Amino acid sequence: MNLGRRLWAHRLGRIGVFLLGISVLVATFAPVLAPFDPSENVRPTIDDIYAGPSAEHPLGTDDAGYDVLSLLIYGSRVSLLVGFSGAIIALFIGGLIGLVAGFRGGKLGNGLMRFTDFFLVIPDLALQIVIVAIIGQSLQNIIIVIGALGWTTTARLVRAQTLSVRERKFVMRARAVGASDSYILRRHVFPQVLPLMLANTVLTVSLAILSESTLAFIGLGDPTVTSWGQMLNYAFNRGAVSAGAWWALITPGLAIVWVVLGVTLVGNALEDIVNPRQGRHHMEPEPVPPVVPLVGEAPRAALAIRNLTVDFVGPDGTRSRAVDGVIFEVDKGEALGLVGESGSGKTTAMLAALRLLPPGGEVVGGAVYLHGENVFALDDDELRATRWTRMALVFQGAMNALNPVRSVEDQIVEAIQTHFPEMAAAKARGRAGELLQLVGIDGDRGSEYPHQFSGGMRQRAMIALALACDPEVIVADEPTTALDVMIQAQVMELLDRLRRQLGMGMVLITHDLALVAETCERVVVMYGGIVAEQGAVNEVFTTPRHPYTRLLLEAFPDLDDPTRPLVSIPGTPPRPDQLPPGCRFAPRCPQAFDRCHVEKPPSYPIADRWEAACFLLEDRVEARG
Amino acid sequence: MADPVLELDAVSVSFPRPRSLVDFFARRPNNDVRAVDQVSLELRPGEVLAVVGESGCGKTTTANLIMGLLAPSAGRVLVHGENLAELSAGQLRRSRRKMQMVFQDPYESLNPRMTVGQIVAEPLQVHKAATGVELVSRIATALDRAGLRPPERYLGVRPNELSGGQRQRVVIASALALEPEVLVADEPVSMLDVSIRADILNLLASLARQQGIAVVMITHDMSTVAAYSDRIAVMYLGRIVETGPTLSVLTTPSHPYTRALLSVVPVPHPSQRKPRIILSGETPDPGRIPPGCRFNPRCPVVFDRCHIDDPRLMPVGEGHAAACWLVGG
Repeated sequence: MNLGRRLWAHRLGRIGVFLLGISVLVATFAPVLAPFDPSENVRPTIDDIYAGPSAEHPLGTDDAGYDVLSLLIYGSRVSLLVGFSGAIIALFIGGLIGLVAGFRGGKLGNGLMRFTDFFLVIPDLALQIVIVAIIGQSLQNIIIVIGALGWTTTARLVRAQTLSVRERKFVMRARAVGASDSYILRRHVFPQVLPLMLANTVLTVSLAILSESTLAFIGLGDPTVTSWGQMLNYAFNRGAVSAGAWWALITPGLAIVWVVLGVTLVGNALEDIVNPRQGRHHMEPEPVPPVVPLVGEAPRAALAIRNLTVDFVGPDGTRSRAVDGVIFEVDKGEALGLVGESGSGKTTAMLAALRLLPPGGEVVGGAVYLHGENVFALDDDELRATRWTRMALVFQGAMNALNPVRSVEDQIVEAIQTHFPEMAAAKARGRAGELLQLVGIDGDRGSEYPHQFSGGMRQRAMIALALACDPEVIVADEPTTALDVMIQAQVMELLDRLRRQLGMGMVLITHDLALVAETCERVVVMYGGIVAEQGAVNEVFTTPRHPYTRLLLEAFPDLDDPTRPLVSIPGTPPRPDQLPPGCRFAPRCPQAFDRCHVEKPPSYPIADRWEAACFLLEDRVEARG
Repeated sequence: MADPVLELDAVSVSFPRPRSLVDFFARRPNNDVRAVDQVSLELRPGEVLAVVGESGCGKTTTANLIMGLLAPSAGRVLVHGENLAELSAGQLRRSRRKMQMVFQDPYESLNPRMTVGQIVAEPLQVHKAATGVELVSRIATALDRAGLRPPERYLGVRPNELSGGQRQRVVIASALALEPEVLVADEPVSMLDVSIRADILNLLASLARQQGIAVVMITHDMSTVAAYSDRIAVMYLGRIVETGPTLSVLTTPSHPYTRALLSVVPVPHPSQRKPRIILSGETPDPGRIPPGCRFNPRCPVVFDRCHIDDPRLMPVGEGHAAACWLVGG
């Protein structure tokens, strides 16, 4: 377990470990460190009471003439003992209730959670005071009360985590193997929940220490032991304020802050480590892409992507190139298939074109032109106006892209009114009705919510939403991946009809070569962030020139030739952070030669608007400058 | 021909439909949801059967029946001729070991905290099938059979260090550890990259052909399984509407639903755009199965009788049958 090392690497965690470590050392070696033993009776003279700091008593004495430093040192034992014992009790109760409630669910789980909620709303301190007052002020009772009341947050946290682990596929697989519940809990659920449980327990420690101090301060501490809360209690009640003995008042307070701060920092650091949140990225605005001046004539295509290059910057600052010098164009009314496997950069390229890159994504070069206008040169207002009115997106998971709490029609009306605020509500509503009609959804179903729609209807609604502002280009990202073949056929036919009817350019992002063959005029094959080959579908699919295109077609099933066994391409697609130095496909290419491993092939034109990036084509044609 | 490893004999599975207060007051009949309706299947050693259909057609319920994870509400499930319902608990557990499952998503179905060795060992430990030296050798054999060679290299590796294809091999190795006779693969390649799918399909087919395991591939994608299955069963609304040898079903589809399904599968040849039969609407609710032939509301060639009589599977060729009044007459 490298948890310790990661804790040390965490900046605040290291401070916490330092603070807590010193407290633990002090508590352990208290008899050695303390100049006096507080259990020994002293016979104070009047001068020993609230005596100021001196060589003999570096932190002075208290109201009974005891050495404050020694009391502080011994007090750390009580605080840590109460803190950790209380937290362990809380961990045990909360962990058990959380695990059972999360894993079993049903009536038992609900009952347990209502029980937890009940405890959560009771003010802890008030109940602690009552219970301690009744059962007596011994240290043991105080620990039990603190533990027995401090488990609620642990229970809720553990339950939530258990619930999510229980639904994971590997738990289902273990079930299918025939594993018992106790085996699954022990082997699969518990190890996943444990780190979070521990992090939470550390935070409970600080709460327990504070609770003990509070109880002792109001006089409900164990009178037989010296704790920091007790020291404060005595100091306040026995005239430290009027005697001006600040040392008796401030030092226990500082000690409490020291330990609680240490424990909290360690706990927070552990939580950060076991449950990392990408808080940092969300705070930063998306970097503004560089504006590359236009050379020559502005492109006339509906959408022109020129040398687009996108990096992803990891949390540790490492860069990986997701899209590398991609060039292609989509004409008005043309359908282009953007084909590639996972990590090929196909989606990233289009998100960059819309300036919708996820956190960490950064455009580092190139330009995107919508009818000759550089998208990267737009300011925020212009960009907002451009999105959806000129280029709209049909997302992959329609359920996630639609707002679940608003009716489908309302969402379309909202999209229209955002871009055409002057349009009257009634007119916008009428237009939304037309759009729904256009995609084959009955007008009276527009008032329904996305969850009332089937998968195919949601995707239709998503298309209607994308069409709301008459975009010039529509980008469809795997629009049918989650759908059945028949629904896929319906949705693709709809997209095809609308594209022709409305004269839109369309970019279809997909891994499905056959879908491109059936619906697109042109195809761009991407691999490892570059364009391997692009051209007319008719040409590229019949006589592919790049080895990757050819092998991909051989790996793809074909019902016209159902008995042909499929052939895999050896190896796997490259990860953006581990791109090969030469041709991206060289490590998997059966035709690769020495040069392919060291040099990146340029794109060689084969015919009008048909090109491929492979050295094998060099003899036949000159590379594009 | 070898005796079947597993048979489903007119098996049905119904789930009670949750009733709302509105249903109660409107006195709507309390229809059960028929997820699987009188399905009969035979699985022989070394055979690859593809169960094809859209979501909600009952293919996943069928997989759970084969796995013994679900008990039929009617009909019999027979393993080597023995009715599962009549077995003792111990015999049932032993018979469960003969059926193993390969899941769809190799990224999610492996516990990220376990090593490959631990993952493959898990079924053996759960069933207390092997310990010590035997455990180690059986893990190695399973990895080897799943094409992870040499096995030693993978034992200590965690899933996140493997590619999608390798992970799916680990899932398969874990399923092979108990030396099953039946392997049920639920969409085994749909989450994998196109360029490596063939590897996994070839592996499953070779497990059947060379090692005599009966393989059931559950899928919605006919084109993927075409080259790898011996037989196809097309399901619609809980019923098998057509079944037969793969080539025969693909070249002479006899049920209008199969014909429609085949016509809409895209093919990667731009020049050969064929006429497509796009059925309108979606699969109806399995709680409200239409009377007569269940396909009649969407059927392009429907006629009077289809609204009244429910067609049974009728032979159309050697081992090929379809449930349509137009074939049997």
